[in-house]
Amino acid sequence: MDHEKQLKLQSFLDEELSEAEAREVASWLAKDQEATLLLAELRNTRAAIAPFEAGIRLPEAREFYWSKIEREIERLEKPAPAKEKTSWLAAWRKILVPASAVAALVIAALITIGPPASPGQETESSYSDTGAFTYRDYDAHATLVWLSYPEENDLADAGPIDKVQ
Amino acid sequence: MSDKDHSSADDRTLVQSAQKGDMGAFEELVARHRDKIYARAFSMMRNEEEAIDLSQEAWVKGWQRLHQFQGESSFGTWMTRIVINLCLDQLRKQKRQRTESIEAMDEESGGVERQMPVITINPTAGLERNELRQRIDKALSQLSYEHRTVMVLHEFEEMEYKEIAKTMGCSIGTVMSRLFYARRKMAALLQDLRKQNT
Amino acid sequence: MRPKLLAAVVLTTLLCAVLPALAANAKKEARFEIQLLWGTDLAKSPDTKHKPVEPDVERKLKSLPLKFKNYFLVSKNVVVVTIGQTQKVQVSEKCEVELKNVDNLKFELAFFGKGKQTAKRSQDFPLGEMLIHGGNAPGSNAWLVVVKRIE
Repeated sequence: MDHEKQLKLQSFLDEELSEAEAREVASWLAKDQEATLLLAELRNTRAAIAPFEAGIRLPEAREFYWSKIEREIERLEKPAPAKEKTSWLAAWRKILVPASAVAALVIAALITIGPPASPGQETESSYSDTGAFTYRDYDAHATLVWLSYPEENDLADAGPIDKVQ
Repeated sequence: MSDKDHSSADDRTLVQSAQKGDMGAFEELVARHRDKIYARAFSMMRNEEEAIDLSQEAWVKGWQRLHQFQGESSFGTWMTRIVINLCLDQLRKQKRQRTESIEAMDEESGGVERQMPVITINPTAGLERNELRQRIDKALSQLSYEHRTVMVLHEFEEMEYKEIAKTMGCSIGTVMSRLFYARRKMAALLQDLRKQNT
Repeated sequence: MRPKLLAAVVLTTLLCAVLPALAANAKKEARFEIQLLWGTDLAKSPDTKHKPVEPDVERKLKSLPLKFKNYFLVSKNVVVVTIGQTQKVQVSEKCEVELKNVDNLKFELAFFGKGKQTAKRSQDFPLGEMLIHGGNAPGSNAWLVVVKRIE
C-alpha cells in the first residue's frame, strides 16, 4: 500500500474526506484486507488514547493554585509604584556642609538628563478622541491605543509596501 | 454575586459576571476547568511544573482577554486554545535551544511508519484503566514534540487537519503525515510496553 | 569616613550611574518601522495586495486585548529620525504619523487623520518597543498603525 493510500485511510477514519471520496474508500476496504487491518489499528490507537486526559488531575490545592493566578492578575493591573526614596539621601542629610557644593552639581546634572520613565510609559499625551483607551503589556513591550471613532476606512489608497524614507 | 451563587451558576453566567470584574466568578471558572487546562498543558509539555506554570499563565491571559470571549465556543474550549498557544510558544522556544536527537530527525524525514507491520492486538485489551493511562503516558513521552502536538490537537482538542495546520504553521500534508506517524508509533510503543510487562 | 572622601565616593558612584545612560543615547539616530495593518476575522483578505502580518508583530498583537483573528499587512514604511529632528510619514491616503527624536530614547509621536492631528504622545521608545494605534473599520474590521523601533 503506498503512503498516499495510507493517508487516505487515515482521513477516512478522521472524517476528513468528502462523501464521494469516503464511498470510494469504503468500497476499497471491502476488497483489501491489509487496508482493513491498518484501519483497525489506527482506530484502536485512537480509542486507546482518547480517555487519557480525563484521568489527569492538577496536583495543587485549589486555593494555592488560585492565589498565584490572583497575585499575577493584581500585579499586572496595578499601576507602576512610585519611586522609593534612596537611603543615601538620609545619609547625605547628616553631612550637609562639606558635601553640599558637590551635591548641588550632581543634582543639576540629573535635572538636565531628566527622570527615567518606564519604556513605553507615556509622559504626556493628548487625544482628540475622549473615548480612546490605552492598554500596556509590559512583558510584550507593547502599548495599544484604541480610538472609539465610528468605522472609518483609513486603508484607502495605502502606499506601497516596503517604502524607505 | 455571592460565593453560594457562584457554585450554582452556569459557565455563561459566571463569564458575564467575570467580564464585569467579578473576580469571585472567575475563580469559580478556574476551579471548574483547572484540571482540563492543566491536563492539556501536561499532555503537550510532559512536565508537571511547566504545565502548572503555563496553565496559570493561561488563566491570567484568560482574565485579560475575557472581553473577547463572545460565546462562539464553550468557555472551556476557549481556555484550552489559550493554553495550547502558550505551550506551542514554549515548545518552539525550547526546540530552538535543543539539539535534535537522531530519532527525531528520522521522524522528520519520514518513512519508517509506512513500513511498520500492522498491529492487530487492541492495546486496551485486558488492561486496567490506570495501567493503560500509564502506558499511554510513557508512550507519549517518547514522541517528538511535533508528533505529540499533532496528536494532542487532533485527539484531545478535536481540531480538524486544516485548523491544526494553521495552529502549527505547517501544511495540511505535514499534519497528516505527522499524525499518521504518531499513531503508528504509539501503536508500536504500546505493544512494546505490553511485551515488557508479560 | 571623612566628609570630603565620602563626597568624592558618592560623586564617583553617581557619575558611574549616569554615564552609561548617556552612552546609550550617544547614537545620533533611530530607525522605525511603521506598518499599517488590517484586522479582521476573515481568513483571507479580499485585497490581493495585502500580505500576511509578520510573526513578531502578530505575536505582540495576540498579547493585547484585541478580538481579531487575523491581521494583514497593508503597507510598511521605514523611517530614520536623527536626534532633534522630526520626520513625517504618509501611512495611507488619509493617515500620517510624525516622529520627533527628542534624545534618542524619548520620542514625540503625532497622528494625523485627514490632515488633522488626532493624537499626540510623548514616551520612551527603546529598541524593540511597539506602539499600536487602532480604530474601527467597516465590516467589523479594524485598521492598526504599528510603530516599531528597529534600531
